Amino acid sequence: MREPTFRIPAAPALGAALALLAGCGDGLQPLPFQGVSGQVAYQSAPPFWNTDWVRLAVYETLPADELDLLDFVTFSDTLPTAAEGAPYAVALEPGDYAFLVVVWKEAGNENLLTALRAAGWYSGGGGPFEVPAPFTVTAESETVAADLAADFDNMLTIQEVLDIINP
Amino acid sequence: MTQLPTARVFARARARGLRRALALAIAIAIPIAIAIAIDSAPASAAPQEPATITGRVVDAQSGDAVPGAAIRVLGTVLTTFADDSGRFELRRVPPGARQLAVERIGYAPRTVELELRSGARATVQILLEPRAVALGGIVAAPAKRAARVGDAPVSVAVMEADEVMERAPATAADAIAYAPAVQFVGDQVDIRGASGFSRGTGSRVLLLIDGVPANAGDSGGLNWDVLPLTEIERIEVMKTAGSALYGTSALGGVINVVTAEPPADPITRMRLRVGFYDDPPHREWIWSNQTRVYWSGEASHGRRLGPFSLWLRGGYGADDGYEQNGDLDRANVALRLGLGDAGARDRLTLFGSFAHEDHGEALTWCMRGQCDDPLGLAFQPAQVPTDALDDRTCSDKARGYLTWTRDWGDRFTSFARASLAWNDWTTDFGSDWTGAETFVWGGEAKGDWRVASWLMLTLGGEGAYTDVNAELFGQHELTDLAGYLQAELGLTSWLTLTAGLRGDVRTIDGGSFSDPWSQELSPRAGLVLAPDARTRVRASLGKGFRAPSAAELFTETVVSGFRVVPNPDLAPERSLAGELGIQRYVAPWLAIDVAGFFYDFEDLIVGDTMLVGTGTIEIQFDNMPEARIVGLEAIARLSFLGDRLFGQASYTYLETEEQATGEPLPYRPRHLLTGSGTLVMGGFEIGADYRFASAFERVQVFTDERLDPRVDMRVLDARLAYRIGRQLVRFTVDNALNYGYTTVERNLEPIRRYTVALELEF
Repeated sequence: MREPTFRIPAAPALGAALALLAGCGDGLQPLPFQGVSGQVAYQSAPPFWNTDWVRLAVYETLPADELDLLDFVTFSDTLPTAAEGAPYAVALEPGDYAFLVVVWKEAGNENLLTALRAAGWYSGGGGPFEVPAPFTVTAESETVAADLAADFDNMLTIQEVLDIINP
Repeated sequence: MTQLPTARVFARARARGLRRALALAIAIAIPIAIAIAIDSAPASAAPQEPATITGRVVDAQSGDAVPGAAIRVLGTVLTTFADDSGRFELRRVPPGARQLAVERIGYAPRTVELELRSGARATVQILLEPRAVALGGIVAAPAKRAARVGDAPVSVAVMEADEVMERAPATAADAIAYAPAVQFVGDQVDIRGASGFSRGTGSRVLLLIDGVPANAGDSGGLNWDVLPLTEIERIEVMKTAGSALYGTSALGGVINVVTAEPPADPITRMRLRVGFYDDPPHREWIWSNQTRVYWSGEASHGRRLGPFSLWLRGGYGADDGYEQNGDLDRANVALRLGLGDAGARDRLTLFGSFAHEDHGEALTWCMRGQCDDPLGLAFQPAQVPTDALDDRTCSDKARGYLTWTRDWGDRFTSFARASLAWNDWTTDFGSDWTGAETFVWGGEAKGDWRVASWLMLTLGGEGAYTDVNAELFGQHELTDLAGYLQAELGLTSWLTLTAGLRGDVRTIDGGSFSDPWSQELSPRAGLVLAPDARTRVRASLGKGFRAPSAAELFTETVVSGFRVVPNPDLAPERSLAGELGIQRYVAPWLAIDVAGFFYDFEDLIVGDTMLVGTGTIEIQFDNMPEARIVGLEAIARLSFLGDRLFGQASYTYLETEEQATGEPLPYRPRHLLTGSGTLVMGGFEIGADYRFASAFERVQVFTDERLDPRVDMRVLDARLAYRIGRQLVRFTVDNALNYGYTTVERNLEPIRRYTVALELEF
């Protein structure tokens, strides 16, 4: 039986197919940031002996009770705490948000209701525990810049937070 | 009629069953024993002196030597390989009618018949027809001994030295990434989706260097910088569980790197490799105004002095990296001493190597606000967070082994190994230094016994003692003991059956275990059908397992926001793996290989995220109850224009599922595609390679696609080489389309880079 004969156009066809496959995806693209970002200024350092982590939590409405406090929209990545402040960025969908708070967690305690403390929240430029300021993320403006302060020497328990933000 | 108590009825039934089983065993054993006795009996009572065969293997078209060709005396354990000038010698060949099987990848296999008289010396010249798509070639990984690749009941990809070097790689990993069904996810190798990725965990693939295990003792991971590049003869990638012969770590396959024997004539090789990275794919990602360069230099010398042989090798390399903290320096030296040539009755090999590497750590790229980024993008993929700029890892690795191979006549070969591996690393993450020092003492004794012309047994035992001392997970001692047996039955010329079993026992000291003992039985069965000379059908079914590494059991740390929690009660992960495949040499220009395969996993070790919320990055290694992978792999090897244009294309489809949730397994692509082609014109070789992997449907750490988009992998590489005699210059462009992609979240894979390599041989 005669062996099949190779037709040379198959080679460029194969090359073209590979080039097509390679070209029809754009890969990773620069991604404009949409959400809230800024700088957290540390007024005091977190206790090194029992700090598990420090993060930012975002809420759509002011929490009214303990369970509301666990119903956050998102947590940020862990904030570095070695310096006097840390930049942060939290990706958010466009919308209105009521509360942006610096949360500290005690190491070795997995009961979130007792392990979490508030070290400060966004109040539109005031101190760490003044009246919370709402903010809006829009698709057009891409990002909201919100700087805030955190004081780890005077952190508040969940109940104390609720008492202050719901007078 | 008296009613018998139920227990007595069962006891009698069991006794009857045992008697029947015994009778059946005797009925099977007696004919086998008679057959072996007949097969082993000398042809006549006169004393027979063994014969010697010497010869040369040459290319039938060019007349050039064919180094590395395997020459086997069928029906015996006698095997040798042609040296750099194509010459070989086989001693202790039993007289009579003998068949020599001669194989080399890229050539049509050939069988030569010889009539050897007692004590005679025969000289032969064996001509091999070049055939770029031929399915021949010898591999050692599937059977723990040299065997024809087509006779293995499992899928094996083989990369010859030329194929390894043609991409001007920095390490062997750069070449292995092009094997069909193989993908590197971060720095972890994944074969047919069996491994995926798990940060900080060990490898599900066992790395062997000349058959000696080389996975790190503490994490079980693979250190590619310990592999000698210029002395690699071939790399074998076994694409299914290999625990029936290799035990732990071979759950997801085996990679065996075979180094070359020193040639008869002294040889010196030098390799100089320099290159630079292009700008990142988008202007917005440019972070450095300096050209990022890399270079490496290697030199080796090999020679024979009477019965002694020597390879001495050293290398150094530096890389600025294409991303912040991507810089590295590495150096390595290796010495291999041999006693006894390929035909000697006793062969001793002493190997020692030392490797040093110091590199920056880029665990994750910079997210908005974490580094200096005036554009304020969601992420800067070539930069790391400012507070991670000083993160570094420094490691030293030393390995040594002594092996002794002895041919006890033409039917039995023994192999013994003693090995020691030392690994010491330190990592500096900001103000936190951590590190580990590990010693692994290993030993193995193995025998290959040609019991009869149709029965080959491989049996042996293996042991290892590991002493780990790590700041992250404390001091622990691990002891592994194992025994294995594999039988290969060539029942007819067209059917070969394989059956094997390995038992492993491991103890771990120094942890708060509920059970510090674990034991595993790993059986495997396989068959190869050869309905005609052009076709091989293979099937295999076997169990695999991997014992958790010390790092997975005990690590407790916080690194750059990743918090790892220990889990000393981790169970070994296990798999049942099977495949059914067919290889067919369709035409002189086309060979195909199609395989369907599956893995059923039990207790797969994965890094579980803990706590709630999308920003959560706390990890504890845990056992996933059940998972499954089903897949299909198709490979075509093509050759045109009288083998001047040749290439390979492969496609792998993976369907993966975590049984409890129905979700796909993390870090597995659904589609994998590779293609490569080379055109040879005079002294020039022009080639291109393409790799595609569909975007992972599931990842584990940064799952929010708004911030961490997932894209396909689409990498096109181009290469050009010019050969003048034995000297060679290469020019390669990797990731020629400068395509930006990740395999692990927040880790940019290498961007476009240009390399020139000079390979000299004296």
